[in-house]
Amino acid sequence: MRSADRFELRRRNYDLAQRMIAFGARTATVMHWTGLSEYVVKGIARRYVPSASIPPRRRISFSNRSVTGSPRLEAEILAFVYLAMEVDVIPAQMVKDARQRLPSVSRGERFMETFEGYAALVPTGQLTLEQALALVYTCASHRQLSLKQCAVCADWMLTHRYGRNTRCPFCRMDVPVADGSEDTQVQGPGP
Amino acid sequence: MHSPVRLVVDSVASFNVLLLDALSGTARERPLAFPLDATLREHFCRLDTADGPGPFAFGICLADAHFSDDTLWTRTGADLPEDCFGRNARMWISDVDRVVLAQSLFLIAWQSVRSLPSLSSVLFGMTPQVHDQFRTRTLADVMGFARSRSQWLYPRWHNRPEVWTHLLGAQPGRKRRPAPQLRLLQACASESERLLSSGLRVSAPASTPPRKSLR
Repeated sequence: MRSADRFELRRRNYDLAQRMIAFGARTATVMHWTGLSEYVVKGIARRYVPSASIPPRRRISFSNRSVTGSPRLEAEILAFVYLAMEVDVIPAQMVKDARQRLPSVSRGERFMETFEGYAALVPTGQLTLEQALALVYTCASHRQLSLKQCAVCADWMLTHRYGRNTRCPFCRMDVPVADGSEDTQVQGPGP
Repeated sequence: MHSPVRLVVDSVASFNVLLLDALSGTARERPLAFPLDATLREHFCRLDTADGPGPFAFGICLADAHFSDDTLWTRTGADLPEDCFGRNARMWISDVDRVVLAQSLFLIAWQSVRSLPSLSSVLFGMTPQVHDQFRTRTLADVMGFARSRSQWLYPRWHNRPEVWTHLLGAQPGRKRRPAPQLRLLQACASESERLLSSGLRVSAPASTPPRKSLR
């Protein structure tokens, strides 16, 4: 690799790290996506993004509760996955061991563009960067989640693969459930 | 300094306010020409956007100009069809206002495909071919589009009253209800070939129970 290319790659790594830290990414996550050392990542955080929120210490994995927790979060998950698919952050084909194979600088840049776009489009959104990354891994490995068509409005919804929701979050909020027998979730197999 | 994403989203939100104002004016003054479902007319009569976008600050474009129709956008000159959305579709707005709206829309779209190419398909519902049409044209060409193709301007999801109902019924105080922007993104997602052709769409019936529950 020529020195100019090395410099360019290094610059992109630093830029990506800065963007991720600004949205509250964990140090380990930034290291994983950029290949930078812990020392460098913490240095970037201190020097360039001192106002960034304190990231969670533990690794966040996707859980069933995320899609069954609230209609609002369910709608947010569909919105983000849709954007991530359009920008090719989530590949159309299944990727085994997505957590190891997906991270790269170019995909990381696309991911950040998607997440920044999502944050601008949904200013009241509650999805964090770490949750969004966990979603990318989950959807790329085609586990747990699947697209289903809403029985009322015929729009598509993203729900647990074995869930029994037949209505999208918007239709569920508009029309109350009659007896509680429908639109309840079953707990599917774990990740 | 604002990021390109924020600039484009804010521009689209400002355009949407212009469109909502135009629809509101039609609902009040010329109800027969109202282009959306009649049940929405009452909502639009009450609509007040005087204080800026406020609760109507949607970053997804609410207008359509056949951005999803590749073949239409490759046509030129006398080959251009007039009322693509049906007879009298152009009557919902005056000719002058329509050209002004079309100029704003095409200018924002032109800027968007340059500064935010990856998300313009989401914001405007553009196909890659229409995206290329905007990317390869000059500003003068785009202003020409606004004159020759302004009759294509029409509200997006005009046959989906439930989407518009959700947008207009937006009440900031109701925290449990998903934000109206999410309703727009759901409507966009349902038209996304990329999403629907992905492996996330399963062919099994929706209520297939997990193996665990069969025991």
